[in-house]
Amino acid sequence: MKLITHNMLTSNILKGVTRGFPLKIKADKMEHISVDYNRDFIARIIPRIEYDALRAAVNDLGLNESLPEAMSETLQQDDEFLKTMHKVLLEYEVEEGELICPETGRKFPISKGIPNMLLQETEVS
Amino acid sequence: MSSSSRPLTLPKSELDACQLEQEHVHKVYNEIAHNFSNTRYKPWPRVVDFLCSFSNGSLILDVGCGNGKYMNIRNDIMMIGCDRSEGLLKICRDRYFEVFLSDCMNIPVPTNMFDGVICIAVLHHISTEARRLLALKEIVRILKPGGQALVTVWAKEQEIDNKKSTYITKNAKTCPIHTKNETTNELIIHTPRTEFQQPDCLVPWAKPTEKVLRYYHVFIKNELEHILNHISQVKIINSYNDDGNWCIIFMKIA
Repeated sequence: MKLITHNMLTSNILKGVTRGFPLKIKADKMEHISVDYNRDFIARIIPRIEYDALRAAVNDLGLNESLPEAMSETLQQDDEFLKTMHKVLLEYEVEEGELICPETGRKFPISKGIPNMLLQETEVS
Repeated sequence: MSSSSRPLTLPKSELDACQLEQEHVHKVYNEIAHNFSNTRYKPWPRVVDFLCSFSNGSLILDVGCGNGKYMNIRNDIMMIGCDRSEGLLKICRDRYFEVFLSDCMNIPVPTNMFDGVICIAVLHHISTEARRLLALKEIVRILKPGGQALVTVWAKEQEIDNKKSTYITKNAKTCPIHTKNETTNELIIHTPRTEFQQPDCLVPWAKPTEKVLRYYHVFIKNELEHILNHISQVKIINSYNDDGNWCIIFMKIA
């Protein structure tokens, strides 16, 4: 699971959960896999990213990547920033671990890079 | 593969529906994942055309992505896939695709998120109309206003305007006559490569050694439109038959 995917996952499907975002991440195994850099692609993706949630994920994983506290329009044109975002969003992979609902603490296991977001019948909203 | 010896029937309750889909869809796909994947590598051209209609940097979700055959059509859009079969998702991971395991009636993503959704050959595995409506509602929920979805399902009619589909022309078999007991709503076993006798049936998967039955609800003409009419915020853009499949493109309106 890449962090771009984490940025789009929520536990809002759980009964009683309103936003369920961002999910906390606990990683037992991570990988770094190089992905071809496409400046235009990453520049177009960035406005779609929940930046605070991404920073929280970087913090949860203890990644040694410096993301400025706040996003700005100038930053979105900054090559250094775009490259860091490319790396953070697309190159880190959580292989084993879990996602945790911020409201209920419900854990969703990640196995072989696949988050398991299936619910029990009784949990469905 | 069913543990029960009595004939399977159409679901009478939500629990029945879940059990039927668990036994005759989810379990089956996990068992046949690799053989299924080896026979499902060719993308359908009109799905590719749909994916090519999005601008660079678009976010697209493939609901029921299977082995991920549409996940790498373009490298300038963000494709994410979800499926109910872990076996098929493992194949996606071997190909470095981004996927998560989820049910199509409860997709764990925010409302108004995606520019596009594809849902290819998925809804015909859901065993009640109420559940098929839930799945379509979920697709509408996750699309952003102005976003578009392409949904395709297997058609009951395998011959349209005197043109037979590939399914019934390739290795064609003669059609047996099935009689259905109306009082029990028994699910018949469909004879592969023949016209469908009933909208709800079990289709054998026999390659190369397994003998397993997949549940299908095959759709009649305009059935997708009929279900979509129950959902507000939907504008139908195009609907067509593509070689034995009903296909619909719709937009979420604000």
